[in-house]
Amino acid sequence: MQTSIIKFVLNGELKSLEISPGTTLLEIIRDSYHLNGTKSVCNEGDCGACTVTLVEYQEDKPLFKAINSCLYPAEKIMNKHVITVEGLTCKDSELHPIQEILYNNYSTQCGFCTPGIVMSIFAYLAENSEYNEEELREALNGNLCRCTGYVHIIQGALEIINYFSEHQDKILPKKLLEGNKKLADLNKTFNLNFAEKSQGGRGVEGYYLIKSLAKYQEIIKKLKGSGTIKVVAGATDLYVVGNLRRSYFKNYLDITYIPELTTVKADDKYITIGASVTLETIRTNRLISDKLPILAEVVSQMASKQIRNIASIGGNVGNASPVGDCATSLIGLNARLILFGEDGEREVSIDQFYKGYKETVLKHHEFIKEIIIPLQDKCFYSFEKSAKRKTLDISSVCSFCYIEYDKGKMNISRFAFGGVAPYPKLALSIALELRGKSLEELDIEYLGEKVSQEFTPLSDIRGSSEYRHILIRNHVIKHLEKFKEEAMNEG
Amino acid sequence: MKVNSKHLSGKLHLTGKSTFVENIALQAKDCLYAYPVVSSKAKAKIIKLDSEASKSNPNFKHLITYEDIPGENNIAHGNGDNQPLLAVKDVNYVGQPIAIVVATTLEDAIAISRKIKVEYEEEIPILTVNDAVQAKSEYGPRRLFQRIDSCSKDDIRELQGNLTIGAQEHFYFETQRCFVANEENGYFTVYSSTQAVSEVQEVCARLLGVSSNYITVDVRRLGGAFGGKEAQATLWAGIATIASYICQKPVYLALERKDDISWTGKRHEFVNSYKIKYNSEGKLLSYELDLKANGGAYIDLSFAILERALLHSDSGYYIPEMNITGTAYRTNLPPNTAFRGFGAPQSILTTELALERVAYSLKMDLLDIRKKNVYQLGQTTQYGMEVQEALGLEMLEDLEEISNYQELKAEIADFNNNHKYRKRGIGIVTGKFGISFTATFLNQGSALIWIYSDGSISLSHGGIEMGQQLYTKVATVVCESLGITMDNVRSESTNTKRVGNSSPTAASSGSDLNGNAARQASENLKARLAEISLKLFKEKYDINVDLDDVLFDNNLIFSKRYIEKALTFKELAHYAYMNRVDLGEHSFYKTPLIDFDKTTNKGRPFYYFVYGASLMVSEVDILTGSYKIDSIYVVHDNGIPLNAEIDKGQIYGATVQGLGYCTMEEVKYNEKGESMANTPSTYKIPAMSDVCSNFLVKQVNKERSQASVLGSKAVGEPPFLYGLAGWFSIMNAISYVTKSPESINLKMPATPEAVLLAIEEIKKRGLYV
Ligand SMILES: Cc1cc2nc3c(=O)[nH]c(=O)nc-3n(C[C@H](O)[C@H](O)[C@H](O)COP(=O)(O)OP(=O)(O)OC[C@H]3O[C@@H](n4cnc5c(N)ncnc54)[C@H](O)[C@@H]3O)c2cc1C
Ligand code: FES
Ligand code: FES
Repeated sequence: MQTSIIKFVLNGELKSLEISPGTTLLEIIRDSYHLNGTKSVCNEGDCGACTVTLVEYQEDKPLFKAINSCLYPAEKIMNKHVITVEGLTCKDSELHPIQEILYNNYSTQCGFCTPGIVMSIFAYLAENSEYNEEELREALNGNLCRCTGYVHIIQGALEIINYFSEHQDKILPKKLLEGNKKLADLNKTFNLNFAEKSQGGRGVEGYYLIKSLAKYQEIIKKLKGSGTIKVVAGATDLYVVGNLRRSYFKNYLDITYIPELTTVKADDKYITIGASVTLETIRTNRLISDKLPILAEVVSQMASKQIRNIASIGGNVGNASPVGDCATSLIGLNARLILFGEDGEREVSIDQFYKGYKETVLKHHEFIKEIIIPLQDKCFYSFEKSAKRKTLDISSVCSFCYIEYDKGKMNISRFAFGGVAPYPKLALSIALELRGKSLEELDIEYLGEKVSQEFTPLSDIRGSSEYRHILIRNHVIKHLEKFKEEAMNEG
Repeated sequence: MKVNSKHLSGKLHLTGKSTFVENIALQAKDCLYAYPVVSSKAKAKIIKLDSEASKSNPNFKHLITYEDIPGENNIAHGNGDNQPLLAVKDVNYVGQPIAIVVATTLEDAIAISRKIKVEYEEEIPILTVNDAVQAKSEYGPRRLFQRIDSCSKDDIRELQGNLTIGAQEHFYFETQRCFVANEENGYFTVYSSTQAVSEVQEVCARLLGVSSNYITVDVRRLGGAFGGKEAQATLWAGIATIASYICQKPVYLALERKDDISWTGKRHEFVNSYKIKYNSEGKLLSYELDLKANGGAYIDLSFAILERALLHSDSGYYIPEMNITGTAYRTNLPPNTAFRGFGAPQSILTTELALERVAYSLKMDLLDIRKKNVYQLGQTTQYGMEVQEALGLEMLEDLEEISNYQELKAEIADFNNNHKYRKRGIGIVTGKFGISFTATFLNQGSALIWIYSDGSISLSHGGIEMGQQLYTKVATVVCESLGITMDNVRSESTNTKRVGNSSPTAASSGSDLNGNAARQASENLKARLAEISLKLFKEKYDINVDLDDVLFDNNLIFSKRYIEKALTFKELAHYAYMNRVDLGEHSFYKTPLIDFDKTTNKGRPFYYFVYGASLMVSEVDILTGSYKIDSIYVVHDNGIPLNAEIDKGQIYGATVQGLGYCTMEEVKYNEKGESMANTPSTYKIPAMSDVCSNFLVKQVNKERSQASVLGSKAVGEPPFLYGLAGWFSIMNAISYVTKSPESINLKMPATPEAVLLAIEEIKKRGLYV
């Protein structure tokens, strides 16, 4: 019999705990350990009040990241070090330098967002060895505050990075350093091949951390007929549904530990991204910023650091949201998907992947294993996202434009749109219009109008149909204006 | 001695150790959890409540309906309405509580409450102001504020328009919650996240049919409120109290975020129309304004909010003829309620818009026209109050200077000439905010101070700490008065046993009312200590000190003549105790001079005004309607601040909240009256990325003839107005693509969608340039 007891480190101390599947890390922190410094404010990843820092070892090095504990499956803290605001200090009266500086800068008012902000700053400091304002802000965009207007927070945070540029040794207090050591030792005595089954209150029977493709096949065979299975990666979508609608699946199959799914590879012609690669990895990965910087640009406009640290690109495609930013961009990029399931692998073009609203060609046991993106030499890429707020917001309309051109003439082009149809979609009319044309021959306004006619977007909370129509038209104009400028600059 | 303390709760907040209601609840043994069953209909008769679903859950304890309420089923407070705690026959908004589920875990209470079925007979709801006007669904008669001064009638021009101003969600981080502990003899202690302890006390007593002294309300601090917990915390406190009474167990209730946004009231939506007359020089001559407020299903604070809107319809300007009318309407939305600014932003925005259009139609400079029309000393407002301190011009001149206005204007014109699809604009707002509750009786405060025999101090007052650092400010007043350092003072929770009959912490009045009361108490104690000190000086140093010479500073007591021969505060306190001196003091403060007649709408509703001005620069993407605010300049009339940095934090926070209000914060209900933008993924408040680095605040720290405790001025609400400059800056940017800027039709809030649609309308009308 397998047990559901996991071992992990919490604020420097080794813990073991029995976990009921479907529980979030936030619940563990607050209910099992009564660490109430970490706040529950929205329970859907949108405020940052529940931010904690996770440490895990990769190649003998501790890696730090900030996450939203409200969306983090508790099972996954196995073999990790969870640091909450309580972990930064040892004695009651003591303050961590982060806290000291924020205190002196009046960076807290009602205090409810504050622990989350402290933990985002802490993770940023621990994760990097050099600091700058831009990345610091990037690390804090996922932490909302209703009281301060942020100015005193930014002021404090800037002073903090100045201070720690000189005092890197003060980031980790002794007990956390010791905790990391305990974690390093723990790794040797434990493996990831873990699955558990116990009756939880939410009707979740199992959460499987799956280590290999073979193991996946084994498990789905075993679970056949025993109720719903659901592939889960970052859970940033699935656990929102769980938390808000109390709607859970019977068995979660976590595919983020399968090595093939977590690598980025490239040659001259293709870049291949494992489906479980996180959005933050895409934003910072060397290969991607060398070969396909536009993708990093797309991802940098998505969600928050905490979400990107766990959300996967495969989840963005697999959840079949009509407005997925990656999904839309990958259509523009003409990506191919390698699917994996019971019977092994098959390949589909992303054009063929979606069938309807939240509907894909995936069979219930299948998932996306890899995403293959062709690389082109002479081409233009551009991404536009229109949303209410600049950061941490879902698009009203997003679009991706891809144009191959040579000697002043346009060749193949692809314009993909999100938020205008039941699923992300390619505009069909415009490719024909552009083919073989030179820049001077373009009537940009006309083309925008024409593409806009092609779609009949709905009205919903993120925008009226009219607004979306205008956005389609104007996105086309923006892409082509940018293209004109770039092509002209190249002569 | 000038005390300049940091946030008294700051260290606790930063280490996650501060006590909120939830922490108190978590310590309770045998705590039960309550959650309401609410109406899913905006207007309906209740046919049947089917409790079957509750029975299958082993953790279920009780289902409570209105029939179980021992006292009067009415939570309305001081407004003559009748708002049931639990609906009886009718429901009047989506989210109105019908029953209470009690279970052994919060998760079960929520799960059961969602499963319980209610059968309704639906009726057609009134949702919008227009619906309400048609149905004549008014809360009381229309109010008229009128003042006709003579002015030249030559060269008159006229403009009219209307503006619908959307609602705003408070989005306090800590949702509505309450923990109630049952005690002996039918007493209860209610730990509510409320801004109004006495109101909660009175209403809970009424619900139980007991007198107020059966109920203690205790509040350590709130995780944000902004007005949303002035009247609206009472409902949840009442529910938890009834549940605790029925179960005879401690009970905790905390709303989920989505439910909090869906079920609680907002800043009022207003539908306003105006007609303004002016001359070719940009002098405003006459102004007609009609305000219609969407009050929601129960009156709550709608009367008072409408009143404050009417009182602020002049913004900062003198207009000889004013005819201002206002009506609040009953609709089938959650009862709309207090929110920082309390009606003033809605009328000020409209008046600033009218003025802005005048400027556009005359091609006048946006700053000049404001300078030309601000109040001058001795002029009177539309409610007959003489302006005894007119700082509008000073604020605008400061603003001109700190923003480098003339260069800024030139830069923007230049940028706009060189960019086809990106345009920049300037927005300016003048602030003049009246300080005092317009319900005159509320302008009272109390404090209770104990000096213990070891010299340490316990400070209580009626104000609530909700992040604004009121506790720090009041403690500052005490320390400055007694010449002691902050570490000697413990700021106690706000508790109806120690301070009774307290007014809500609202209307920016917290530090004025409580600070003044605490100051009086400290001064009285100081006088007693000074007197007994003479005896101790004699005993200890054999010196004769004159009472007038005794000084309290830096934890020491000494006289000017014998600076070296000092007593410590500690030793003096102990000596006073041994000599049977009373070391406890309760003091009371009431705001002087104010007097307002609600039948004639004339008088002096405000003790003083807080002035200010702001300027924002935005850049709009003409193709997508998205924009960013590039710079923010604020000038704020601060008086002599009790703590300048704390006040600055209020200015930053309120400005950004105001900016959110007029840009991205969009409350939406569907045709069934269901809240649509009810999670942070759909209701957007400003994030850090919305706040530009170039955010300059000039606090004008001057002694003013009209100010409050130790020369300070209230700071909670006035800076909210500064945020509105964002809206005008966007409109100004749009003005660069139209031939007819005075006819730009920009919605409020100016979401990217609203901006794009406004631009599209310009195109459709052939006015695009
Ligand atoms: C606060 C917040 C902000 C967000 N912002 C954005 C944004 O700006 N832009 C945007 O596009 N999205 C956004 N999202 C949506 C979402 O987080 C992303 O789409 C994310 O990439 C989903 O990945 P995941 O790994 O977390 O998916 P999960 O939640 O694990 O899974 C989501 C769905 O995809 C399926 N799935 C997961 N992996 C695979 C796979 N390899 N193959 C097939 N199916 C799979 C799951 O079965 C499930 O149905 C946001 C979400 C939150 C909570
Ligand atoms: S509670 Fe808001 S992000 Fe987790
Ligand atoms: S301090 Fe109140 S939410 Fe940030």
